[in-house]
Amino acid sequence: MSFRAGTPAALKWGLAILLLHGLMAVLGPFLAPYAQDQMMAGLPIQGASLGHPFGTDQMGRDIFSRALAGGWIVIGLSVAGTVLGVLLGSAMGLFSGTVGGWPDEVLMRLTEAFLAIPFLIFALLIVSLAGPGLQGSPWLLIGVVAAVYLPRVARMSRAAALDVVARDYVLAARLRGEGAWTISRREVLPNAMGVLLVEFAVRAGYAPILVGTLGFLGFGLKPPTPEWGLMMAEYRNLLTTQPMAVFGPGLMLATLVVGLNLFTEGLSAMASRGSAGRTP
Amino acid sequence: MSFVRLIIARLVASVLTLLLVSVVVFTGVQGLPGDATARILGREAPQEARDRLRAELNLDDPLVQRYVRWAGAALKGDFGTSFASRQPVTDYLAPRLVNTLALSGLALLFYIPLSILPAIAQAPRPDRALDRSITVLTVAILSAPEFLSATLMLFAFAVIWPIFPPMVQLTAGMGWPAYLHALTLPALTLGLLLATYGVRLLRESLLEIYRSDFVRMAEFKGLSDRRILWRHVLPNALIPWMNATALNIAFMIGGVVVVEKVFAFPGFGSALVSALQLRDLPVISAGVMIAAAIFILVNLLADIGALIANPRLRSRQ
Amino acid sequence: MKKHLHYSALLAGISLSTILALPAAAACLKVIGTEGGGTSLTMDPAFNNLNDDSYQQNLVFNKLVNLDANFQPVPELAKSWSASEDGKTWTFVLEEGVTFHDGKPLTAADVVYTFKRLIDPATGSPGTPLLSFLDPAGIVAVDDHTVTMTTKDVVAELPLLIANKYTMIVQDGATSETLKAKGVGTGPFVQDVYDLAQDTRIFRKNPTYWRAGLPVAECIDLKVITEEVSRVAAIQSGSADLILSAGPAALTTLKDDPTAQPVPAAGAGGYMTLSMQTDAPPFDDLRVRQAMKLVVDRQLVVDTVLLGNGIAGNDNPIAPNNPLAYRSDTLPRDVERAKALLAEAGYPDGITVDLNTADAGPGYVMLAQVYQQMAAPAGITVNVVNNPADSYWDLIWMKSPFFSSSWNGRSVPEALAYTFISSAEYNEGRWSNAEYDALVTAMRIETDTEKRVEMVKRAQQILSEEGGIIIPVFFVDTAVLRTGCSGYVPHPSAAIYNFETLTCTQ
Repeated sequence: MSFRAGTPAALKWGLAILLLHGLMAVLGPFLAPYAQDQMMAGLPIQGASLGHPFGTDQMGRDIFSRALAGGWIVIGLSVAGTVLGVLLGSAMGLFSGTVGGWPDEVLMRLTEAFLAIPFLIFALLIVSLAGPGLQGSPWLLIGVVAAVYLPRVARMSRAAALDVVARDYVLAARLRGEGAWTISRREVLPNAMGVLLVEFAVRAGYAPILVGTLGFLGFGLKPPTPEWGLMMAEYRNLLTTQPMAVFGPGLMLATLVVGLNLFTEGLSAMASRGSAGRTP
Repeated sequence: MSFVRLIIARLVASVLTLLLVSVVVFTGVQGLPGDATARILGREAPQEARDRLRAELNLDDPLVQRYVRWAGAALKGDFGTSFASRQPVTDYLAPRLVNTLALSGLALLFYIPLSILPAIAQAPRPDRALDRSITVLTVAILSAPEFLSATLMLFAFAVIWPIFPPMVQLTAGMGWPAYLHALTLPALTLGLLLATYGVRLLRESLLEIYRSDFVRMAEFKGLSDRRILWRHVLPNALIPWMNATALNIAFMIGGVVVVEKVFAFPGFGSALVSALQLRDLPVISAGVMIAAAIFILVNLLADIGALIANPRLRSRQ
Repeated sequence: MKKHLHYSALLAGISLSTILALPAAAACLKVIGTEGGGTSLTMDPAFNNLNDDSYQQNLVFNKLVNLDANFQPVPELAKSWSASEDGKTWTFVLEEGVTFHDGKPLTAADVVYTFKRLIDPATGSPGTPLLSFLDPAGIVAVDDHTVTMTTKDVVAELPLLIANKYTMIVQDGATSETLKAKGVGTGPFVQDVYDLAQDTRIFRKNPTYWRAGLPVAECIDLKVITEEVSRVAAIQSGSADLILSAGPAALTTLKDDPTAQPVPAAGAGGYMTLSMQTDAPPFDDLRVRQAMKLVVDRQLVVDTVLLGNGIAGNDNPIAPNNPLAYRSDTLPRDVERAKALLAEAGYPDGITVDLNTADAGPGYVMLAQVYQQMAAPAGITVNVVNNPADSYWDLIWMKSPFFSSSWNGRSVPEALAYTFISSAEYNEGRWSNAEYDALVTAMRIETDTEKRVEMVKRAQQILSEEGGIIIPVFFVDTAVLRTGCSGYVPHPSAAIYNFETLTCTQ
């Protein structure tokens, strides 16, 4: 059976990258050469140089310092929002798929009603509804990320649950008299874990982009918050003259995403390996 | 339950969902803080002018009355009049919708090969060079925000190698070839962005199935790799992939906003965002409803497809 | 009447007609605007709101009197004017041989109708308060080519004050309903294709334009692109001929690009403000206000927020390079004095203030951040509150003690009055200074130029020294022409655009 031979390596690499990001997020603000909001740390809109690896922005702030200062915001928002959304969503979806019947129908109708609204529009609506007091607040954004992901994760996990539920060993379990909750936990969850972890990986990887896109459209975090996605949006006008202004934070974002992906991939492979030797 | 009854059940469910969405959307939209009249007339408009406009737009009637009026008219295809342009909402949204549907359709055409081909190249031989390099490329695109990828595509294919125009100019009577040419770059961008999800998911799905027992059985039976892939693995993997694709279509209708903004594309997404900023309530309500209706329809079709493909699902309960 | 067609038929019809039907448009000059109006776009001058409205209305209409780059009146549809002995009656003589786009000749009746419509509260125009000095009964068509305007009190610079963005001349009898989507004016271009759904607006040369030999261009294709990057790409790839206003970052990108030529406006235009409400602590204390102003390094603001494309301001709406400015040098920064003033006012350890801003105008957020940095050394701790843009004008502007704003360029008397006299509707500083009010009232009726200039300068000085508004910079609008195009200079006012001489040699 063709099996990913390097799985533990993926997990190790992923973990390594995430730890590095974690360190950067915690120590960054202290190790940065300049204060993140320090104007005229260098001449305005200069390209990358030894003193300013990512260049300077319109106010002369050192972009590298800003990026270092913003790590914890990105990681915090993305992880918190995704974890919340995935936890709630998968619980709902797995349960719904296993139980079936009326509860499933009702939950799915509600989920579909929210899913039917395009997610970005949904996010914009929530932000608009939150009112001026909350807008720009990180808590709102965690909520928005979770709200956007919840129905999607619910749907995917329900589909995974349905797929598993249709298999013979579940039927056998039911015949044995096991209840819906036990089946969810013992049969469905382990088998659906692979899909769920991919879901988490993809969603967690997208969360900072979602927050940055909301910033791009003017509905998300506001300047001068040094959030990477927002910085990329702020500096996109400088793309042709100072590409590092955009690619600097971009690389940091990308490596974070890669780290998350590798980590969860490794985890998912281990989880399904653990249940591969089951008997039908 | 018989197949036909399942389908009817799905249909009824869809209609109910649509109704639910209409209530949610309408109440949500009416609850938006901020004054439409101030945005439409500008900050220097005197209070009298604003009050006059308010009365014209019936903004002070009770909520339920406005909902009933709105829903009743919507069923007949009348989504009311835009606050800002004083034109029927359909006159403004319909061509925008056509444009975005055309864009999405073209994007879908790019998306299908762009997501399936790499995945089936990767899955049979995971962790080899091809798999890894495709993964790196996919992850690179995935980890960049859409506005960045779209901007890069814009510069690459409209400025550095000017094959396509940098902004979408749609004029009456431009003819199908010119129309498609104008749409190609944004559609390619959109298709590429969506494909990155599709590839990852399909690959995961394929690998999952490769691990399953019946594939082991097929290998024991001595079937060729190719046959296993195309006849046993792929069809089963396509189901979650199709589900994901259906969800991605919702992305295309709303999330295409970013691509629309970068390419100055007169589409549905940007109409909705500017309506949100203007608090043009009829346009917002109509727009979100239409997007939802399309999504529900696509989902219904996807569900039916799943039922056809996986007979086991039909025998639930 | 069957208003509500079956939905699918409507869709099909629209898609077919927009895509297949007529022959394509000729190669028009592509003009790119920066701020779009979307569905609120209007061709009705009485409801001119956003820049996008101005872009299109300036193509199609003329005013009676227009403004040059120094905000002085120049003749347009009125070829000359004069005031009566007592200064209360102005007579405007109209150009002859002017016709509207539908062939109807321009007469005094059209002018009278335009102004009466604007003054009438039933129209609901935002421009009504600006013409409050006019008495509708005093606007009379003496004959086909002469209009008189009689006012209750002397208005020394009436021709200036009737040249605002709302006063473009429309036909006698044109209604709000018709004008919203179709503007029939006397201007250099005729409205041709106006499809807001497809975002296509095309204007064709007016063959019977009253200025002989103009316009030069055959047709203009107007489009708004909100993304700066996309605008730059459009110029660089040759898809656009003119960008009406380029931001500092775009100008930096295009600086050494041979495909583009930047064209700055002839003078300073609008300005940015940080407005303090002076009717409550801490800003009710003059010393605090002065301290807040003293920390500003005005040239630094120009260099950072506008990347050099601007002029330093002296806390009043007249730019220092204007001959009527009360001083032509820049007010210096003085942190020590600011600290001393704060101590005098009872804040020896400094103060903390909230500065409310939003991305509701160009450079607002950046200015707020820059101000925060500049104020810190004096012990002024500024807390920048970045509010959501779309509700900013409803909820924050004019309603919080310290906030960001900006204003378009205007003629001098208008500028001094519009937002600074105590009875001004947009008195952002809630400021009330009797001497200032008296000066502004007096300058409006003072017919002796020298005396008037004295008043103008004195008013500026009071405003700068005692007012509640910090005005650190003026915008100098810069347009970008594709190499090969010429004949366009941006006007300092964001509401005035002149496309008559724009031309491109491919």
